[in-house]
Amino acid sequence: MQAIEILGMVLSLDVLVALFIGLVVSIIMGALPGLSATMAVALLIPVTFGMNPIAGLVMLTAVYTGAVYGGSITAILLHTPGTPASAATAIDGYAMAKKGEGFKAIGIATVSSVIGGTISALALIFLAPPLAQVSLKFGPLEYFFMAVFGLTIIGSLAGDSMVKGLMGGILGLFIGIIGLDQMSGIPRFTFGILALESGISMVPAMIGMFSLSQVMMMTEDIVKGKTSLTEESDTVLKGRFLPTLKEFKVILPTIIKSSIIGVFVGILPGAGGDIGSWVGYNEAKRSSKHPERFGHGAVEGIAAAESANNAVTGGALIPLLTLGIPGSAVAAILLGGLMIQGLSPGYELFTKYANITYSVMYGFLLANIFMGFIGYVISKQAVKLSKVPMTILGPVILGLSVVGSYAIQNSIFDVYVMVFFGFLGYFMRKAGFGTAPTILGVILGTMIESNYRRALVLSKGSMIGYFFSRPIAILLFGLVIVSMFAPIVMKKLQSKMKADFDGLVSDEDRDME
Amino acid sequence: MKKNLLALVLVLVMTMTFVAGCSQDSGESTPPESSEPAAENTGGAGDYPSKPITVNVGFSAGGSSDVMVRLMAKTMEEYIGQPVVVVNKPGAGGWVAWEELAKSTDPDGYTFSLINSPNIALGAYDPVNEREFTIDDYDLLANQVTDFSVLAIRKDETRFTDLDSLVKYAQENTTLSACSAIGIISDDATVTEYFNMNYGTDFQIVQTGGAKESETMFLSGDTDVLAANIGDILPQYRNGDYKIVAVFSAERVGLMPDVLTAKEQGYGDIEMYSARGYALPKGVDPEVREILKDALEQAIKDPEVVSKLEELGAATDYMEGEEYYNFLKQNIENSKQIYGIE
Repeated sequence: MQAIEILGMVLSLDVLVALFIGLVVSIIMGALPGLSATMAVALLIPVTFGMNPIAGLVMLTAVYTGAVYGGSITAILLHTPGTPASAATAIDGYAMAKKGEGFKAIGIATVSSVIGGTISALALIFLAPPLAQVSLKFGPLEYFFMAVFGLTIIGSLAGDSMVKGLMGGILGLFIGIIGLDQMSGIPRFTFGILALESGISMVPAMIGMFSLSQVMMMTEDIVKGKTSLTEESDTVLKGRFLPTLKEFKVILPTIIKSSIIGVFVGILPGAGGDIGSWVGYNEAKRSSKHPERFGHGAVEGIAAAESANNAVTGGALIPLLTLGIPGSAVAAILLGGLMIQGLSPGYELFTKYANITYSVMYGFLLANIFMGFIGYVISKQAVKLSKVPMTILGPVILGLSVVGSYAIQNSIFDVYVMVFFGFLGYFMRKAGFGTAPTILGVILGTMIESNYRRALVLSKGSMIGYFFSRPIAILLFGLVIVSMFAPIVMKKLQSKMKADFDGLVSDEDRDME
Repeated sequence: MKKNLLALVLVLVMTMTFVAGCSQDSGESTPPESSEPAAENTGGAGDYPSKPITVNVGFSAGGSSDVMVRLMAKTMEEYIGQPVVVVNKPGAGGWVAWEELAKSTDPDGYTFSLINSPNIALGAYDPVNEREFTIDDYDLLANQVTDFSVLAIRKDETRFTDLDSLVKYAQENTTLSACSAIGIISDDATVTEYFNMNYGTDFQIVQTGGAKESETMFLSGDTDVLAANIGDILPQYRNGDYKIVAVFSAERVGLMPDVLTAKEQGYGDIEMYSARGYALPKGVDPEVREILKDALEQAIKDPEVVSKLEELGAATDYMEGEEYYNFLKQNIENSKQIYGIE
């Protein structure tokens, strides 16, 4: 591989500037409670439209990892997770901040995030190309089972109510039906509107669902008399930022284990940083010699949660780049960013467009490392920035949402789509529905339908025989079965474990975004 | 002060978004002032062109149609003396842009559009999703590129080696072909349908999401043959990865001189292609139209544009007026005949 050439592309001025701006903006957005990584990426996709593909995509991946990291700053200092992915960080981080060790806690979060993100970037660089090779062996039947497998995850994504999660997923399936029937060209639910024939435009829909709905939530708070996102805090930031070598040795095993968990959770379709951080946190607590310290300012707690949620980012990109199946809600939006640049996921990304793909992956690696330095510089300021009045923040986000939705296809109809999904997202969130299952439903539903119907044609009328002639499909079918029944088995196991170690495991307050 | 910093960052982001947005639509024709339309409609060309000209493309940026138009537009600027701005309005297989063109209420000659056949020519005859407009609803300017259909097989294929053995195989076996569109509006699908209708073959179409996906399925062995256009497969043809068993043109094509036409091999007088040209809305002042058409013709025939397009596998095929209209009309008649539509 032409490593030098790729290095040259990554280290070009426009890429570095895009990376730097992406990190600064995203760490601040991540630190602002309510502005999640999903929203940061959705808002910035239209910005990358005019850039060259490498700079644009490096910026988006940098925004992804930066926003996830930025969330930890307010989680630690204000007990208000900037993004859902840093909710687990808040537990021990805030406990440390109360003891006056807030700055040190941010230091540990920074180191952990950098290592977690870097490990995931390496996993991406080394796992994605061979997986892309495997994807060549994927026909419609295999894609069908992969997508069904993704849908089964919705059950575990659902948060507090599985019924609501499934309902959200079905809504997504319905939204995915809108447009021309891919196989026969018959318009479905287009009501004679030409713009709907290509289906609902995903990026405007997501900008609406995540950004506009958030502005509505803010407006509600403003009406209630709340003016800024967070309350004043008197935390004084001083002392040591980086952990000592001794502390580092203590947390390193936790970080590495948690990073591996994070990468794995990231690869699973749809499961994002919020789930990754909780799994990493619980595992660190379970295997710790002093589980009683967790919740009272354990450095391992912060390290576990923060390395896991940043490790999810690279993991989530693996199935996205190789199969077009997003590993998290953010990755689903990144899919839109990829398409806008005229790149579609799959084998070609690693052959014809290998220069772009590798540059983006190395750029992502670089972003994870730079994140530490930028985090060190702006973490103090980011907390203060979180007190910016919502009366300023709201209109700015609103403006960005409208302009961004229009710019993608020069279509005013896309702005209407954005507004519609803004209202939809708002009411869904008010009613306690997660938006992630809906988005997964849209993307996977389309894949399921068209690939199933393609597989039917390919089977030449003998589906069973065709199925048994495809070993990968059989394997994936097994995975679907396991994934469908795993939650039931796990629940049984968990209640048994709960009986054994009562009070040890409590992840009921897991928050979904 | 810190608040100011955030405001600054957010304003920066917003500016960037605006710039991204504007780079796309800066050429959007602004509504003329109240006195202008009257002057334009009665006073001939006047000072045309006095502002940037917009060419709408009904497909996303970066696709083969978009690349072609951008090449042409850049050169056309030199001939017409005004910026020629490409605006992508993707959707509904091009029909978002074409409906806008047909319904244009302001035919001032500052906006024209790329038109792709067979989509635009045959949309009105598609029983599945019948379109409102035919080629008679537009003012056809000129054709730029004609990209003929081909049938390709894999280089290591043993079941058939040429068109004769392929047709014979397909008469006895269900043979799968991947196409990115289906029915009368797709030249790929129509080619296979032609053999089913006239030679009793059993070609079955697997509908894919696009030309790239079709190729992946063909390469992995999921489908037996690939119906495509020359522009899609030229590099693979040159590398010897695919074997092209027939090209559906009246005469052999310069880009692949050793490939036999279907007609040469005794399979009737079939010509099938995807063609890309330009059209204005009806009602543009004839003098304005002439200025625009001249600049367009010069840009299309510009040697640099022609050679760059050839590198991309697209053969320039300039046509205008009656010739262009009849060319599209013939395409419509051929396809209607294959599908048995009156």
